[in-house]
Amino acid sequence: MVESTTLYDQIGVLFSETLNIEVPSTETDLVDAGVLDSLAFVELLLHLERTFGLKVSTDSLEIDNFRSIARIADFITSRNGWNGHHKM
Amino acid sequence: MTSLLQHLVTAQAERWPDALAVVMNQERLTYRQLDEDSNRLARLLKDAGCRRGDRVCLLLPKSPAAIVGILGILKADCLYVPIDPSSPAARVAKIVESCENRWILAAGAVAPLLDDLLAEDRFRAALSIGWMGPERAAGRHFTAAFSSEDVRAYPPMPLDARNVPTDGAHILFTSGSTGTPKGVVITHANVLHFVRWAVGYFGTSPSDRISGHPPLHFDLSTFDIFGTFMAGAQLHLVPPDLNLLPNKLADFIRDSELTQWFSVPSILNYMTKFDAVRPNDFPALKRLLWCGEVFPTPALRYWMQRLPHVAFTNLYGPTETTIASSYYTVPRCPDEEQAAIPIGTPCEGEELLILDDALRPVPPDEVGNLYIRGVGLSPGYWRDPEKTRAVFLPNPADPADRVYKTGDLARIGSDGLVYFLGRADSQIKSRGYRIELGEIESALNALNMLQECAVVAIQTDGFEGAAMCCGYVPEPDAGVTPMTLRKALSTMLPAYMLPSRWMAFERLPKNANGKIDRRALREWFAVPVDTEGRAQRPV
Repeated sequence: MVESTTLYDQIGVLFSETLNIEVPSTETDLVDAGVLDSLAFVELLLHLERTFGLKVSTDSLEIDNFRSIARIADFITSRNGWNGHHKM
Repeated sequence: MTSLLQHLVTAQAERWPDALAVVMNQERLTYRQLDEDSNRLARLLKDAGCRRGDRVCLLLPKSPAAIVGILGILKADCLYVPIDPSSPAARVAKIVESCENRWILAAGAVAPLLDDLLAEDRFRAALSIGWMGPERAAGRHFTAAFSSEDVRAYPPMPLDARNVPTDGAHILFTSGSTGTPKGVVITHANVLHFVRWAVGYFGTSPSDRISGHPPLHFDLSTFDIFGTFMAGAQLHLVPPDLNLLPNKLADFIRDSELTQWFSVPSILNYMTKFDAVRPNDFPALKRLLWCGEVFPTPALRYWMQRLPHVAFTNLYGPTETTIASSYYTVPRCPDEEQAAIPIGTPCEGEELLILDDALRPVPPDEVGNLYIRGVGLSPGYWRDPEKTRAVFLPNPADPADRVYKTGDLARIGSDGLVYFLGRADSQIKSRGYRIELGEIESALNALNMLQECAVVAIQTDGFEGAAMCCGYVPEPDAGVTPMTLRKALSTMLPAYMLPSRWMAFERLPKNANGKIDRRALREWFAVPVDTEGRAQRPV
């Protein structure tokens, strides 16, 4: 799974360098770990849209899609048909 | 007339024992169950040696069991000290150290936190843990002394109260500028006075279904809890995991058929941002109240346009004067996005004074410092006469009376209403939480990773309100990055106190006196963000 490893890395970088949050693993539960509160969540959505073109409407806002880096990657892939080329 | 908070529940249990008192998810407690369960807990606590005036800490998530805990502690003539269960152990240790409590009532996912706290011998020797769940929890460093099953073994009959209305009911810890949280002592009489006024003003009745949104360590929760019980209404505790999901919060208000919603504005802003409210939504809702920070007028207009059947009331007041000291019910939807919403007029028994630096009243429309006097005033900070003296001052018009210096700036408009204009110091509000930027700086300095640092707050464009920004000069070769700093800081401060923006400097901007130039630092952070989310730094 070379492709999603790359996507994992990119989301990991988004957390570490943009949100300044250390996420121990791609499976870490971001809500239980106290990483995602409403402020961080809004910022995460903003950066996911900027970096991956991911648009999320209120109705499709399910926390389960954002619980971990792996879930976020799955969500991006399912929504965008991600092809490894994101907006820079 | 009821003179102690715990008697509000007893009185309702006598009148309508089977009426619902507290609801959360699938859990329900009637007034009789709430009264009897808290009697049992009080008996156990008294058996365990708790005496009038003792402090008992609550370290558990908002839940029906937590409400039983609060009432049981009060019925044992003690004060409850609610602690944020997501706090780092270092901060919990400071609070426990200050309270000198012998008991912590705990539940939920706090075992790791208790292990961190009780790794220290002195805490292990001094503290016992009561578990507000069915099985006695244990960790590496603790075994709970009782569980809710053990509480059940005690008889449910009422106890004679030994506490009096001027006794403390709870101590609420808020951010302190020198790095140690300060405890505000609030008495039974303080809370009862506000709640009695509010239930009368809002016409709260047994048919009301009231939201319990704020966490228990937040003073707004005391209005939800005791206001509900005074009216004999239902308290619907809002599960905290809904806070990230604006549409689920809207579902909750709708499905619970809430008649009253009370929260900090930030959650209302958040729902606005995601357009979670439909036209004429929440048909059961009668009133929407907010407190704790400014509700931006554009978001207020969003709510008022959609909910013409609801009354909107702004409540204002610091923790030190008990829940709220003034109110303003917005008569109609403001026409303009820039319209200022006043904090209004004093609640019964309170007075708002706008004074100059010599404590003389300032003329109408001039800016002054806002002081509050009246029945809501806390006796002071827990075991801190120095801090108490600094802000609870003799009333210049009557030395036998006291006034509380809020640190807020305000003016009285030509309409006779009071308008809030900001802070006179570096305290800020973020999502309703009161934060002393100095406490964050103290914690950062204690990390020994930085040569110097300063934390400033800037207003953001969106609905999030103030963003906390840290400018810092790292110690050379310490491998300091914003991520390592944030992580280290999170072991000392709760998440809501962590700065969201960081910038490394070779040296911080200074003014002519050699002091950090905070205005210049704010400008560094206030510059526009480019399409990649990076700040365009000034050259």
